[in-house]
This record gives sequence, C-alpha cells and structure tokens, in this order.
Amino acid sequence: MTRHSPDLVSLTFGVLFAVIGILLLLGQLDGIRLDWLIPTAVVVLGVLLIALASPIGRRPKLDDEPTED
Amino acid sequence: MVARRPSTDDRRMTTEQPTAPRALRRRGDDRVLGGVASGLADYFNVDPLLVRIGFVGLMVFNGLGLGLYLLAWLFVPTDTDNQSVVQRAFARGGFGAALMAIGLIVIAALVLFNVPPTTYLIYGGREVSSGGLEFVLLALIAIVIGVLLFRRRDAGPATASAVASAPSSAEPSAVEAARPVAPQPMVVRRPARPPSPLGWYVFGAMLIGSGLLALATVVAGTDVDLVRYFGLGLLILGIGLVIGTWFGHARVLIVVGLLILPFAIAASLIHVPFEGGFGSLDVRPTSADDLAAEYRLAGGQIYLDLSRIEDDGEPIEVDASVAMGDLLVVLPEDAAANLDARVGAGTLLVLGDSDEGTNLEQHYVIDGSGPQFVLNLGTGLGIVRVETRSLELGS
Repeated sequence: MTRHSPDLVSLTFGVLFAVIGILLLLGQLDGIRLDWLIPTAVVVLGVLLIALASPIGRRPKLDDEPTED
Repeated sequence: MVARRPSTDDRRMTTEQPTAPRALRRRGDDRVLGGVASGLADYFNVDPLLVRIGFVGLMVFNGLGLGLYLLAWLFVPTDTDNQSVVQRAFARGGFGAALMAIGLIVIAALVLFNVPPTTYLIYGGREVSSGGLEFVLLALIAIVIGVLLFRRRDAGPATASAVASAPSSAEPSAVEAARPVAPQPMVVRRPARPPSPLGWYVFGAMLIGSGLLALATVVAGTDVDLVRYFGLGLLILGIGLVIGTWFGHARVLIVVGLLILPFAIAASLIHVPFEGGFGSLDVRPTSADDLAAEYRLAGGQIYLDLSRIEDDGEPIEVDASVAMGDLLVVLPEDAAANLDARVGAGTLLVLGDSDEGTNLEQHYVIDGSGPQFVLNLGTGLGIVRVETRSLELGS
C-alpha cells in the first residue's frame, strides 16, 4: 500500500467508528436514548456533504500515480 | 488499401470537440455491487461515496434504498455494451423467464417497501405479532430467485454476443477502408483507482477479532453480549479507516460501518439474554407444575397463557424474555401479580396501560383474589403485552 495524501473523510469516519466501538465495548452506550440519533445523523450528513464538496474531501491522490499533463 | 487510423491530429480534434452529453451508465470497472452508485456519481459528477451513503440512508425508509438500487440495476445500461439487464434478458429471447425474473424482483422490492412493522396473525386462536419478518424473508428469497434467473439467462448467449461484438481480425474491405474514421466524442470519466487490499485486511481482522472474542467467552465460561461483538467490529473498522487516511484506500468501509451502526445501536438496547433460539413458543399450563422457571427466545414470539392455572395458594414465579420479538402473557381475570416489565425499544402494553419508546421499565402491582404471580418479563426489541382473560386479544 502506497502512502497518499491524507484522506480526511476516512479519518473522520474512522475516528467516529472507533470511538463508538470503544463505547459499545465498554458498555457506555447501554441504555442509550435515541432522541439524539436523527438530529446527529442530519448534522453528520451535512458535515459530510461539505467535506466531500470541498477540495480536502476529494479522493486522495496516490503519490506514485502518474500525473496528468 | 490500408484503413486510415486516427492520427494525432484526429485525437486533438476529438479532445477539442464539446464533450458528448453524459449518459447514465452503470460502471463495470469501479463498482462495489452493480456499479449503480459509481454510474450515478459519474453522471452527477459527485463522489461515489456520497451516492452510496445516500442509498444506505434510504434503507431506513422500509428498504427504499435497496428497492431503488435494484430498479436502477435492472434498467440502467452498463458502460460495456450499453444494454440494461432488462434489455439483455429480452433481447436473448427468454421472454417468459425475463418477465418472471423482473416480476419477482419488482414484487420483492414492493413488499420490502411496505413491510408492516408489526403484523398480527391468528396464532392458536389468538392474535399475536410476527414482526413482519416472514415478509422480509419472502422478499429476499424472491430477489435471490429473480437474480439467479437473470444470471442463468446471461450464461450462454453472453459468449456469443461478446464474440459477435468483438472486432474482426480480418482485413477491412475496400468500402470500409475508404470510409473516413469519425472521431469519437470524448466522455470525461473519473479514472478507476487500482484496488487496495486494505478493505480485505479489515474484514479479515474483524472476523479474527470476533472469533477470538467468542473463543475467549468459551474458555472463560462467561457470556458476552451481542453488542460487544458489534463494538469490536466497529473498532477494528474504525482503525482500518484511520490507516486508510494515509495508506491504501477503503472508503467502502464507511458504507459498511454505516450499515453496521443501526444494528449495533439496536443490540445496545437488548438487555435480556440472547438465548433460546428463534421461533414461536406457545405455553398453556393448567397448573404451576407445568411451568418452567424461565422461558427464553433470541428471536420470535412467546405466548404464555396463564389463565387456566388453578390457585394453590403459592405465588408462581415466571421469568420470560425475547431478545428480538414479542412476549404476550394472559393472566386469569382475578389474578394478583407483581410484575416487572422491560422493553429495550418497542411497546409496553400492560392491562390497558401503554407506553412506547426506548429503555422502558415499569413495575406493576395487580390486586386480585385469584392465583398470585411474580412475573419478570422483558424484550430487547419488540412488544411486551400483558392481558387478563377478559381483555384477551381476539376474544
């Protein structure tokens, strides 16, 4: 696997999933209330839209990829 | 005479021409399933991840995302032969099979859209909830049969078609050679990236992690909640994505994580034992001796009719739970009961008292002159319903 420029979308979701995974493993999300779920999902989707639309959210370019002329 | 090949000038001319109107095509070279999301992303010039997340998000609405994806897979042509699955199936003469396959898939999609959240069936003379699971299973079976029919239709003639469409190695005729080669319109397409093994590494690590956790529970002789497996899976998946920030690429893991997340959250709401298998349990004792101390199901429904039990003066203790499904208890009209009921997510209906939501927990004391019960009832996702003989469903 070749190193490429940082992919912030992968990083964001990676950290999000890892944190949720740890909380689930430790039992910290037992008895969770779901009232916040839909508002949070809407916020995450909004952030995602902005991230994907911005230059930093574009697909990471592999360093060894041939550059276009 | 030799056919005139497109020269460098032609190619320059081609690139200078206005790009052809974009057509919606499923992509064969950059796909996760059927290339629908990738094709839509090309069409709208957006990141395919966004489209994939859109499909996953629409799954929340009774599987709408799956239905739309199936329809697009059926009717959007591929970028290789400009034919949709439907066009190909009809073109190859298998009209009956094609029609049946399309019918099965469309009906299955419609059923998935309209699965009632809870379906009541007549069960043992009474209404009980089935959760609509049978509709989902039927729809999935129909989809699989439909897809298999399509694949069968594709198997034989595809080769002939490919041969027919392959360029001939024979020399071009004089007429063909004299015909000027028209410059092909240029369609700007996002290049497919080379495959990365990161996703496979992560899936492998998730399987190994889950297996080790299960082995650890066997060795230690302890129980581990289902939610811990989901937690471990999400943790490994998250680590994989963090690695993908700099090495390899596996954005598809985001879609996988979003698919797992609802199940993980649902599992976090299940606080009853995940044991007893799946199915229906119908218990109609006539005396306390006929009763077991506890009744468990991982999924399905328990119907516990205690209305025929004779009063022998001793309190009768029953512990019953369904991890995913419904628990219906019928008490004698004159019963006295000390009742604890717990619902992770769903509905709690006790003698006309109704509550719904998440993490419901209630204690009831029912006065009566008849048999005395001490009941501990629970469901993770579903309904706990307690009625007396006089209020019994269907009577």
